[in-house]
Amino acid sequence: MSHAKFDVFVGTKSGLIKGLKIGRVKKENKIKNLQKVSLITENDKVTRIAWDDNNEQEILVACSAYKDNKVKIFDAESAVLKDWFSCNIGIGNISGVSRCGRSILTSVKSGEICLWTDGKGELLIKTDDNLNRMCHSREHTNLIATGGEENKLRMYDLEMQKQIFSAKDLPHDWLRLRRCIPISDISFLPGNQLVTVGKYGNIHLYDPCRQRRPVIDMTVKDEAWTCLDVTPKEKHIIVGSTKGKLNLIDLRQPGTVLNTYKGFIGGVTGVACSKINPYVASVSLDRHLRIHHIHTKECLKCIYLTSKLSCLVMRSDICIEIGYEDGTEN
Amino acid sequence: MKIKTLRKNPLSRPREEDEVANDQPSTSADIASEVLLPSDSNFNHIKCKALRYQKCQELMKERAKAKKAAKKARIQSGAPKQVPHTLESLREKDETTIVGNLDDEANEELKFDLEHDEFAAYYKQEYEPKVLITYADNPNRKTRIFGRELTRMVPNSISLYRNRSGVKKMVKSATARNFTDIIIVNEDQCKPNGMLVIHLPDGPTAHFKISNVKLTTDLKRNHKEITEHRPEVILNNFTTRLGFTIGRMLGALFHYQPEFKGRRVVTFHNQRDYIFFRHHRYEFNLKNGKPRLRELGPRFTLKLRSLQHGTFDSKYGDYEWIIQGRRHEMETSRRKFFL
Repeated sequence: MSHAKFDVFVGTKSGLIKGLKIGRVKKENKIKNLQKVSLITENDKVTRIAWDDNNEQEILVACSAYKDNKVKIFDAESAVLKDWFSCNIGIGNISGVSRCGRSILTSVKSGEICLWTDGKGELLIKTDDNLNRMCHSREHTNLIATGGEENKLRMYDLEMQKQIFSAKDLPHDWLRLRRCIPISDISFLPGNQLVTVGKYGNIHLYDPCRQRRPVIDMTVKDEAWTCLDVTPKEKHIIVGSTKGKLNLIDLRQPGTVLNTYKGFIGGVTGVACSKINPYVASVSLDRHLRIHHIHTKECLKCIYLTSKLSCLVMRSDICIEIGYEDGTEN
Repeated sequence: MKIKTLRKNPLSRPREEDEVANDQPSTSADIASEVLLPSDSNFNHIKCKALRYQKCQELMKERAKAKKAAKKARIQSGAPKQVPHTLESLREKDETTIVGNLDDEANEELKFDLEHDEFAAYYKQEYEPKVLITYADNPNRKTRIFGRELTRMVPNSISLYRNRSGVKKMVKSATARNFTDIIIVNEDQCKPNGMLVIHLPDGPTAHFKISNVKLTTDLKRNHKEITEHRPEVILNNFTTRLGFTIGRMLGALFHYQPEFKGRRVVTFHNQRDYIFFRHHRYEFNLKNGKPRLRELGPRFTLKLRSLQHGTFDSKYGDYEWIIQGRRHEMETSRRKFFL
């Protein structure tokens, strides 16, 4: 049963969604398009992809282009399209999608966060424009965090539909100029802490219980971070940049850059860490999916997937076997 | 005085017949009983320089003769010609290389990708390219002339001074004026050294290093030879997925319908990741149908530095391919090529 299921699902800029079963060697990798190429139109560009819930039974795929936004729901076991509906409240690409009870929560670039039940949507919260990311907490399912460019980090309670936390601007710099914090990706850490990364190389850790300014404020020069994911190790995250850098960051005081994972040719667009095993998968604009070992930094797999990749999800219990022994790989 | 005991002049000594036969390699150990003679192909032991030189020349002549004979025998027997091993023929296999026809079943996804990328409109012939050519601030003479010559190559293009404008501003104003591409020539030490090609309205942006620029005058040609006809474009040897995009990008600078009357042809030939630009006028010999080429100039070489998604944003833009900062990591072997 388990050998048939896909380990990794990848969304592409062209609109295809691919399921991957990673084998021991290159030849054993199974790659399948979940939808036929002929069925895809140019309005199907995948912007976000997310697991349905912690059981990882279904995947939610947000497709958007021009003025048409869609959410597709696939069954992760059989990789069939179960349902899809179009969601056209607000303007711009979908920046976040997640399951909230029976309904599906989406957010779009113009700031509307909507709840969709049976294809009908209701506007839940309206935040500022330029919303780059919405993140749903796995621990407390009533919490979401939002943020974007010129759109500071906010945390909302879905049940009360109320803002419960908003970040405060950073103190002015030594030239007395305002420091703005663009946000390109957000994630919840255990203990309701929030971590954000942005295009100015900024990595911030917020602790809503303690203060409104970031607890850890670190900047990496000349890198524009695009994505992040939380590793199984406490307070360790992995961030990817537009120039193709993937780093392990330790968020304990004072915040340090630890490992650099090599092999990228283009910008990293998505990272996903396994929750149990020390593996990190990442997709990049150079059309490759790479899987690295977090501690040894070794590139275990590098798979060419023909299209420009934009996002991915990986099973938390993924197990990777490496076929060095028979000498067919590397 | 005995003449016999005098040493003979080695140069005028008559050659003995069996000397040649004994000249076989005889330093091998298996003929232990015989005297070890020096090998025939090494004359280092001969102390007389003139003789050493003569011997060496003889040997080389002999070898050339043997080679010629072998070639003749090969041609007579009709055996196929052996392909020499070059860096290119021994190229490391790249998994992104496009194999087969675009209409094949295996290339379905690629074809879909091509139909929806930024150049799809050009290849469907929906618009005519209009190109803006500009320079770095304060271009020197050579760069200015180079830009002018580019306007002669690229149909429907104009060259303007930059007037201290920023690239992002130029992208905006050029899009508003219906330009489809911008070429920016950078210079260093009075020579053009970089070229930025931006496709409008939404990317991609390619940055090339430019070298070996030979202007028309350097090739001893006159620009009056170059006619106004739209040239044909040859894109040669772009094999990988990245190379394909670059080829499409360079092709999209030119008008899709060449005027064959002008018999002009511009070539972008990719060899070992260097893209060679040449401009020729051709003529067919009416008797045997063979073409004759006359190079018109200019002539230059491009090398890809980065390919960026979207219009120019070197700091925060999404790079599809960038070599800066990871050259040692990427150039793992002399036989690895990216285009």
